[in-house]
Amino acid sequence: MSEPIFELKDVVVTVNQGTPEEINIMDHVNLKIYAGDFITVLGSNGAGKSTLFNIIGGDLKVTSGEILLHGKDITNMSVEHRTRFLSRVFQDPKMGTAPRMTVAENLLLSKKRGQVRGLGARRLKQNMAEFEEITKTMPNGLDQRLNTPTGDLSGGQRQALSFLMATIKRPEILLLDEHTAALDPQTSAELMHATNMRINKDQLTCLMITHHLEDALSYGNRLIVLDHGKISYDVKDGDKDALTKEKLLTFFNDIDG
Amino acid sequence: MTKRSYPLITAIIILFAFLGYAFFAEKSDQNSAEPKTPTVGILQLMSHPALDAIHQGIIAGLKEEGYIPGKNINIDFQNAQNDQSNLKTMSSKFANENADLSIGIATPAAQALANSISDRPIILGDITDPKGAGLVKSNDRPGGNITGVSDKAPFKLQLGLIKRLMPNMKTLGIIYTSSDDSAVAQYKMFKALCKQEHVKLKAYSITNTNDLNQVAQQAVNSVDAIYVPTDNTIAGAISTLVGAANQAGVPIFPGVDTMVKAGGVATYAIDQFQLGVATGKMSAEILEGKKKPATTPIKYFTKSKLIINERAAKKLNIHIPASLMKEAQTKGEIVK
Amino acid sequence: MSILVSAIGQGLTWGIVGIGLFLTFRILDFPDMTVEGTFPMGAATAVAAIYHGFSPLAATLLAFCVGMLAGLVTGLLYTKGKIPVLLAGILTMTAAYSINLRIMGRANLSLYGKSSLLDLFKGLPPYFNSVFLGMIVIIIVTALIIYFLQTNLGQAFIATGDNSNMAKSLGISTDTMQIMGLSVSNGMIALGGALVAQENGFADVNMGIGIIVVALASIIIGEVVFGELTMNERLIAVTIGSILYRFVILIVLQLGFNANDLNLISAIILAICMMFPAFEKRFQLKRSLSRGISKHE
Repeated sequence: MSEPIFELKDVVVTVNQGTPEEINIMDHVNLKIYAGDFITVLGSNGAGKSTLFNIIGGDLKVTSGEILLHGKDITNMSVEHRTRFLSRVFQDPKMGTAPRMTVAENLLLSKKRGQVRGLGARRLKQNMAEFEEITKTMPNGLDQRLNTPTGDLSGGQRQALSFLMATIKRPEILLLDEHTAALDPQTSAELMHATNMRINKDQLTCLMITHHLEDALSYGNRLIVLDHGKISYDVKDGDKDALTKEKLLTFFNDIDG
Repeated sequence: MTKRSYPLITAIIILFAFLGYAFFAEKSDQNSAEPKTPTVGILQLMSHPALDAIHQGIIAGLKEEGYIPGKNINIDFQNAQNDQSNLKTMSSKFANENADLSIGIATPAAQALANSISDRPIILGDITDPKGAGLVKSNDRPGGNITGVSDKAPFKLQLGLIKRLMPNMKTLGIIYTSSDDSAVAQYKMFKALCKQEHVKLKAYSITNTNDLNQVAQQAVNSVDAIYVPTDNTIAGAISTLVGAANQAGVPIFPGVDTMVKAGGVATYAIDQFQLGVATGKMSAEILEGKKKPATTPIKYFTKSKLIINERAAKKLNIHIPASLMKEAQTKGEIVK
Repeated sequence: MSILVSAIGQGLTWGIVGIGLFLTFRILDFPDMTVEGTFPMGAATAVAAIYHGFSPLAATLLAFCVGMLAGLVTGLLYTKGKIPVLLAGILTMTAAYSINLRIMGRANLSLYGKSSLLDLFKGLPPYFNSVFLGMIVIIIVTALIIYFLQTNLGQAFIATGDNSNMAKSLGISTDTMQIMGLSVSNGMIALGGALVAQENGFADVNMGIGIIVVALASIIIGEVVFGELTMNERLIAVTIGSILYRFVILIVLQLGFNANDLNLISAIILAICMMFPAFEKRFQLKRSLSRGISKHE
């Protein structure tokens, strides 16, 4: 087993410090993420799933503990800085794309994620071939709409685009925050399928929050369950394959299957 | 380029085509026929009693010289509502209709005219400092196409009046609008005069009418009397000042007759209407070719009359000596 | 006819102000009130500089730099000081009044008899000097902005205004983009002020009052008349909109309307223009218009 590429060491996040409502929403979390891990993240509401993502992404500061990337301490690194190696897809299709800019322009922006942007010409035309190829991997006609403003697209198309934007420049760690939850069942399944194909093809390291038990079980090589700010369950490979839906249900309360 | 761009492209083409046509048409069309009836453009900066009085005076002055509007003269009157871009547009209008002569009431109006018209006469009405405003080379020999009438207020007479009516005054206050060039110029002149006459002067300035209330409150608590120069902004809000002053029992001595009527106590005021008449007469002379702007010196209208507001004086317990009352009755004006 | 040429000349000069406001109002999507202080600041700086012996060109460029500073201040108040952008702009605009008085040393400074950029265009038919000056500046400015918006930095700038959260997640420093936008925008507006002052022959500390409406009018008339366009075309439409606005004012004055009514009429025109898209939808105007036209063919 190689070294973890990403690690959370004894991370604690305390809110309402000094008041009677003081509580640890992240409670001494230790997590080692290895290259190529595709981890599904489960937990009841309020268990700490989004908090976990916010800590990894840098939107939330830890109260104590360390975050390491390839062994280097990035605990205090800014959100902007982290975008060099990290990308994220949110549940709301509107959040990930710029509505007045075209599909191609959005993809071009993502290609330069985390990089310094200067006064060089953007060279949109030169990239069109690549964009066509990428959008063809999605079954929803994005490739025909490269010059359409994303505000004119459907939710499913925007979300698919958000996923493409998050992966066009290879991230060291990809965070998927219930990214199919706002879509209808068919679009959701299509996007999930395409997501899985892409992650496997490029061997991406990915964490995916989901409420769908089936998705959590069938996708990915690793599964963790969060409960009251702690990781209460962490299975991988063979153990995960052996896991059944019933056994999983015993680990927490409200989940929609 | 999509079909959607057609209107834009069409607009640009039309624009350039028109400019091209106008360019060549203008070049050959320098001799337009002179209209038989002369046109006089009058550009007033904004509405308020003093400027309106000058306007009326100009019409009267022109009439006195035989020019009857509508019969043998066209008057194009424009009010810029204190808006800079209006001043520009209206001056251009005068230039374009080849106005034989233009009159500017208040400094910014005169400057706008000066910038648009260089080949026809411009007459100034109510400009405190033509040379300072950059409108003439010298007040004696203007040198260009601009001359007119200046409203140098009789500061010495006014200050003398204040001293006479307020023998026990310790501090005199002055209030003016800092963004009004002419008011600032008057303030400076008045300040110098006070220094000469050993009168202690405290200065207060406002930027616009919104400041007036607070500044007035401050002023009336620190001085024994307040002088107000010819100031368009304060003129428009004089009731605010009068209200504050009356509350504190502080008399106001304004520089203009209209402000005395509105609650000031007394002053030696330039008759704005008569100033207008003088402007109208000078305009008529230049229209007829009797005089030329370059060689017509600026006329300083200094004739002033004593105007006393009896009611205001009574309210503030100011005793008016009998001789002054007689002077106002015979040669000036008494406001009851 | 010279009246039309004069209107075009003014439209071109004021078009610069419109394009400046376009950067913050349309691209960054926020209302910048700084402009009412920056416009006279540009005018005051240019006129004061010419008064002190600077060449008109140097004076005008200086005005541009001063405008950029004003925009920078608003930007810092907003991004670092966390003051809502509308208030930040108003603060800067209010401070600008006093600063402008200091720059000129008085409320109103005349250029009569002094040099100006218009001197470069002597001997032309009336008002063509403004037209040429305005045309040259507009073409340079528009070309530079069009080029800029197609660079990577320009795209990041547009993205910031379109979806700032997404921009952040792509590593774009939205604070920097907004400060830059406010800076350049106000620089251009000050440049417009400097040109207008040289055309009018004076700078006045009250010149800025109401100019946000004039600038908005240019943008909105351009949008309503020419419909949906690409970003580059929209920039050009602002200038045409500015010229059209001047034509409308001209018509109003020629119709003999009282100048007192000018503000009311401007407001009505602007309101109609802004409500036009809603009218269109409601009464299906476009469809019935085109149906009507085709019937007659």
